[in-house]
Amino acid sequence: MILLLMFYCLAALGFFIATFVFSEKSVYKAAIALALVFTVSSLIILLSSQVFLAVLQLLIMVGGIGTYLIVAVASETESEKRHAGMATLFAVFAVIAALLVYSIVGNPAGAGAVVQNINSEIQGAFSTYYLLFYLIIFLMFSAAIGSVVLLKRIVNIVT
Amino acid sequence: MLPSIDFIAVGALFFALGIGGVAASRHLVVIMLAVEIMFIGSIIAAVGYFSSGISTNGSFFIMLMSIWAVASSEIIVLIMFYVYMKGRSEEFDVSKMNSLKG
Repeated sequence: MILLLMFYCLAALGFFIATFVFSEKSVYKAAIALALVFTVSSLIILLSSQVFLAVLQLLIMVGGIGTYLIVAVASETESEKRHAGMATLFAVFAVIAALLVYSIVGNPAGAGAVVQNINSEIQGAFSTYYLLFYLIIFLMFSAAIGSVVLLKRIVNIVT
Repeated sequence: MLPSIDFIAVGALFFALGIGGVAASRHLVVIMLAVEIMFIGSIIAAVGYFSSGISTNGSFFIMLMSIWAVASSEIIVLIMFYVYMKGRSEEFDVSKMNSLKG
């Protein structure tokens, strides 16, 4: 019961901090808010007794947010207004959240059936097509690195 | 043990917030941060599912590593956009990006 309470408190805290990513006028502060969300999500993962995954999440945060902070500082400009429309944000969030949470929690067959359904989907998708997943990830990395190399050439030609 | 359905529901909420952020943001970096929030939601849901004790024969790790790999690739894409837009002296406001219009 205490664990469940802690879980919901952390989830609410994480969600509250995540809204700062969009409500902040400074991109730099938004990136710091995202770092805090990563930390809270790592604590949430820790509550499920997956220590290794929680540490991995923190390591991803160090690498990812570090880069984001550099880009955020470099692209920082004085802004009088927010970078996101809060009304649109909460309208889209309400619709998507209602659809997703209803499909998960509002299932008449019960939560256990949902987990079993996910289990069968994952078993089917990842055990049959796991090589394709590796291929997709390899292609994505290649495309990302290749685009940076190409872009460097384009910028050199332009300048 | 915490019920996995709670993790999946909270992950779904984070995911929905990320989608809302992508739809509502104008700044390129903030859009990328919103996508990261979507990834956080996916990871929470995936870990909650994994901790439910159902055997996945290791396929879970492929899924989780896929999410993390895509999240890392996204940062490279952001750097690419940053270099591109700095080179062209353009703003980071996506509503003003019209150079691909025919």
